[in-house]
Amino acid sequence: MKYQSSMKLLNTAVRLFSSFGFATGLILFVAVMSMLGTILPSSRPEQIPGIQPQWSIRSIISFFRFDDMFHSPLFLFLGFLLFVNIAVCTGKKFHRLAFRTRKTHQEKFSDSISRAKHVPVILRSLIHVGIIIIIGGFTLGGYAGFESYVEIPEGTSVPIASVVPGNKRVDRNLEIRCDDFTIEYYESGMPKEFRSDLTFTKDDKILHQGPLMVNHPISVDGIRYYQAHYRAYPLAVVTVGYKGQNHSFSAVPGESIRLGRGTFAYVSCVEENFMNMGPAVKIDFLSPGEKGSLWIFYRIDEILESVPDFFSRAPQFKPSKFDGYVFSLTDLKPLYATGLMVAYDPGIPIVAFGSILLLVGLFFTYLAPSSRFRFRLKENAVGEKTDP
Amino acid sequence: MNITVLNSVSFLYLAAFVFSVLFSITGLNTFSRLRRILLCGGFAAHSLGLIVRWVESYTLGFGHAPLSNFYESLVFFSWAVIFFYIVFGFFKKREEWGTFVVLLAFLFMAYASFSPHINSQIQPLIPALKSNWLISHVITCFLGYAAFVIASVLAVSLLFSDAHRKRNVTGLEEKIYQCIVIGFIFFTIGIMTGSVWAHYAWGRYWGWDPKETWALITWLIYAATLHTRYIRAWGGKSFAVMTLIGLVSVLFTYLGVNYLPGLHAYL
Repeated sequence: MKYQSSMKLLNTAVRLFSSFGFATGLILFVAVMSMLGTILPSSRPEQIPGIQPQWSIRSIISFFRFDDMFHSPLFLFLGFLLFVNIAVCTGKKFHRLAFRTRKTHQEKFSDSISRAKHVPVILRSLIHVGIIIIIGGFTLGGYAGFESYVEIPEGTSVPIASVVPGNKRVDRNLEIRCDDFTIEYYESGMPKEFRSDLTFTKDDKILHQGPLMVNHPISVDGIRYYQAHYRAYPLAVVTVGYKGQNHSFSAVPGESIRLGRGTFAYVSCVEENFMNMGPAVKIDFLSPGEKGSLWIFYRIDEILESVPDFFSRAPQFKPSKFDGYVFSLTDLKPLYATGLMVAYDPGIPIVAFGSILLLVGLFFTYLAPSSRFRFRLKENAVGEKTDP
Repeated sequence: MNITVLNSVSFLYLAAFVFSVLFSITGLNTFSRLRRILLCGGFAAHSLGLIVRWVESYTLGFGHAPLSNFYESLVFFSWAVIFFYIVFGFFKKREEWGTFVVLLAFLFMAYASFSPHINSQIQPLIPALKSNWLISHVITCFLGYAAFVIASVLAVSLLFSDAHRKRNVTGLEEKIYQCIVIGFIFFTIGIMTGSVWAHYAWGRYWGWDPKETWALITWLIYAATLHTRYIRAWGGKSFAVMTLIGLVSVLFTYLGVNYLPGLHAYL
């Protein structure tokens, strides 16, 4: 009794999941949710401490994670339902085909319909099989793969493990060094081509060395690297004089210069044309007894020629503002950092295989000639057997 | 020179549309002949214009297929619509729906040629577009779009015929189905080639970019439309309505997503 009711339930579920109405409705529902995913705002509202959030449309969107629709539980569930729907349809088709093949071999009466070939049925099912495999490959890539961005200034190296922290797939000893970054421009100023010359090392051994360009990724140790973008930023060469001795330091914005005795100079900003007086760098100064900011100009000599009392008018720009130290901007060089995409996706070959099956299935369903049916009709008395 | 040729195509299609309307009203064979001559001439000039533009880009030093910006995409889209019209209906003596197809092609070309917001100059490619996948991806996608547009025109014709009980709609329904199938196959290949290109350029074959997502939405809508053929209750009218919903999705995929942030925005 229990078995019969379970079978009845299973048959109902199979009938539901293999019905065209259910499939069509599910496909359209996925389409509608995808539409919402592109239209709804993707950022989460900031929570102000101490204030209870009120139920608004925005908070409802956030609650159901519709602000990240394609990773929301509902969308993932729909994807799972679609997978089950296609799998059940395909399974039912193959089951029917196997049953018909067995029946054709068993029966020898002419009222049976024989097909010239069963192969076209299998080939037409490849559409669904292909989609199932694509969904499987996509899911595998989502869980086992990773992607991350890294910026590497020219002449520096970065350990890959720091780009994808905690990932066991990445070798801790693998490092990338950007030896050089080259960029070419069209006459209009638009970038024409940019490339990074990279060296991949592992335990001081060179694994790979060569250029990386847009649309031409490279693969090292199973992980792929893509030329994604670049960033230009200036390198400031600052000369610091103290008690008659000068020392030069190179620093990029955000980098600090250690001056000794617990004193630091921090390059906080670089301007190409500050107050129409040419390139300038802002230094944040910090010592045990003093702290403050100072702008130092690249063309200070020209400025003093045209405005001899410049420092008395604007004492905040005096290079010797801080006790004993004299700052000057010796050089300002353009520096580039290459932006790389680091990715690993074990699902790609599976998705590619599924796509090929999908295309073959489309061809045989819609473009190949249909199967031929042979059946013979013969008038007989009721119940009389006839030869095939 | 390519811009001159392509601008003239708009006028040829306009003339073909006018003679198409005159033929529909009067039934005179002269108008039909003129319509065909102008349309063939326009299509030939259109093809020539695309080839000349391709060659001229090499002369300028940054050769690429004429498929890289909004102007070129509109021109190719218009070409593809006329191409499929020639394949599906041009050789029938009397079919009124061709008038609307020619009108659409004229509107696309006129918008591309005469809109002040569209730059028709040949532009060099940004590094991300410098790939052989540009040609296969864009061509297959736009062939798919064009087939869906033809299917939609036929769907409107079916709804009109059905409403006025003018003629047997089964033939029209079959034609719509054929157009959708052709479009669906091309569009599937277009999505796949796009994914392969994205894998090489951006490091991932699918990123839920608005353009990618709306392409998937369009694909799902037409997949559902093809499935409705197996539902007995969904006759010609419902099938035609689904086709038109698909067209709305096609238009949003082509034009609307440029107003959403993403990597595919080329307006």
